[in-house]
Amino acid sequence: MSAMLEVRDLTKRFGGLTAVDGVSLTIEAGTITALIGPNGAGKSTFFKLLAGEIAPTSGDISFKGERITGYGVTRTCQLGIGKSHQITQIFPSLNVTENLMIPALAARRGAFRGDMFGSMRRVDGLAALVEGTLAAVGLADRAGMRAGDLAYGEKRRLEIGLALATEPELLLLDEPAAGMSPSETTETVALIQHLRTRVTIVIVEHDMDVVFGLADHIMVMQNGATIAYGTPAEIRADERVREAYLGGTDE
Amino acid sequence: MILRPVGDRTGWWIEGALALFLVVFPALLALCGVGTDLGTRILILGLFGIGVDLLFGYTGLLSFGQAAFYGTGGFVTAHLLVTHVIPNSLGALAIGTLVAALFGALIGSLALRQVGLYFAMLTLAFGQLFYFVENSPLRAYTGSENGLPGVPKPSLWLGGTTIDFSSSVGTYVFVAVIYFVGFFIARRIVRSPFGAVLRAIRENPERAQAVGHLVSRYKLVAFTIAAAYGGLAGGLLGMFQGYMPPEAFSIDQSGEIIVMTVIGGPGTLIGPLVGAAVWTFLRQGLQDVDVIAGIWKLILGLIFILLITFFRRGLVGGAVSLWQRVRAAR
Repeated sequence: MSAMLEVRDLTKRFGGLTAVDGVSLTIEAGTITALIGPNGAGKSTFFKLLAGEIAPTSGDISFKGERITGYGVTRTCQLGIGKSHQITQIFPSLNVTENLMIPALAARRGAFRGDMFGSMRRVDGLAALVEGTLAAVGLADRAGMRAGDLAYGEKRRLEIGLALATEPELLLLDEPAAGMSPSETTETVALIQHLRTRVTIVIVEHDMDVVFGLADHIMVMQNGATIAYGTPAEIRADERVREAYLGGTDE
Repeated sequence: MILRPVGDRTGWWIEGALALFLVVFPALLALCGVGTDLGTRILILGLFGIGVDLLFGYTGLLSFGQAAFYGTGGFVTAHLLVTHVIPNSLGALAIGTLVAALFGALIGSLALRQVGLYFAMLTLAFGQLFYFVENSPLRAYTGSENGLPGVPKPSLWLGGTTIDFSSSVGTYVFVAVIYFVGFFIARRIVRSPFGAVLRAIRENPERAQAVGHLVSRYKLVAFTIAAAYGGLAGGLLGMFQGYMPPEAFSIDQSGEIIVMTVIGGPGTLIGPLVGAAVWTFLRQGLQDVDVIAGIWKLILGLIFILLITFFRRGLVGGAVSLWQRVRAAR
């Protein structure tokens, strides 16, 4: 098996509510998989399970052959799964470069190191990683700006940069284009196209143009369960998807 | 690309300026008609405050129990010296600091299971617990409410000869050198990759964790370092006064060091020293004015409310932004 991520029968219950209901999914290295579905379908909860932010009620997640269920977010991230959040989670009073240094330090130094008398220069490959990420998300000209003062679209790109600077092999993007203007969305799509050469990507997105333009595979969720999985063309032709989600309209 | 320390755009001139200040401080005090002892007291509080600043100003953890470590370090150091178990000033200080740090690691590992207000409440409870233990079960060692008298003044044993720091200026020099070393170490810490992670935790602990940092361990180490600073300052207090007061353990002490840090400017390391100076001078000055001697605490309180309201980042933070505005205007 060359699968990067293998999800088996994943279920998450919150009290009486089953947010994710027996979802299985295999993701091959180098692909982009999109997760779509109406609000409340369980996409974000499923993402939180993948990132280790919450533990599943039952089921298993394997990453590169290692069972990572219940590892927690720090260990999951250290293994190579990075996530950018639906709601921007930056370090507001640090500048853009400093923001990217935080995940880069985790990637380059590990989860903990007591280098209280160390210097940034002695962290192997730190500058290259920060510089590369800065360029990748197109924020090089904002490097010295306080992150809290960035424009909305720039904050969203920094959010992706924070995930990218953890040097992930699998990148989870939770609604990267949420709230963006059409031109910002176009830039974000171009960024993701560029990233696909380096990392495997899973994306949750409501913008159908973004989804059908980027994804190799699409998984459709409803009420916590998978109702369809296939290529964009297959999903477009799927009757159940049209009924449940696309509302019968032609794209 | 050259990466600078996170959140720190200052250079090593800070250390130079501090060294210069420590040299002229006694002369400045003399100009104001104040003795050197007041300066020594301010430096001891400033050193205690460096730990509080690392914890609160840099890592974002507000502890109301720091007096537990100030007292622990103070009484362990004083006890070792009074009983001549360790006659060497630096040796006793080192052991006092170490014991305070060990208790810091222990209390931290329990209190840090909670966050925010609940963490603060736990530190408060541990602080009170230490005060009680000092006062009752350990009274044979601590002298209970009488404290420990007869703590010898600092001296430095150098093989053949012993340098004596028992004069007022001598004690100042001894404390000033230790303050400088403590400040220098703290600066190294906040400018290191380790220090960058502490700032990230203050800014957004959840995200720091999500990008792969073991936040709980960073917090515990920060808490332990803060306890060590408290213990070191407490040890100096006993030597300086020739007497170790039980009030070092009190909740007032825990509260005052936070107020000093906030007034001076959290996240600056030098802030607590400025806060301690303002606090000590106002306290002394207000009590000396006959008309308001009876209500000096009320006036002190009002001044602090004004300071905190108008200088959200403390006096040092206020001075820095004023300087930046002046530079931007030019």
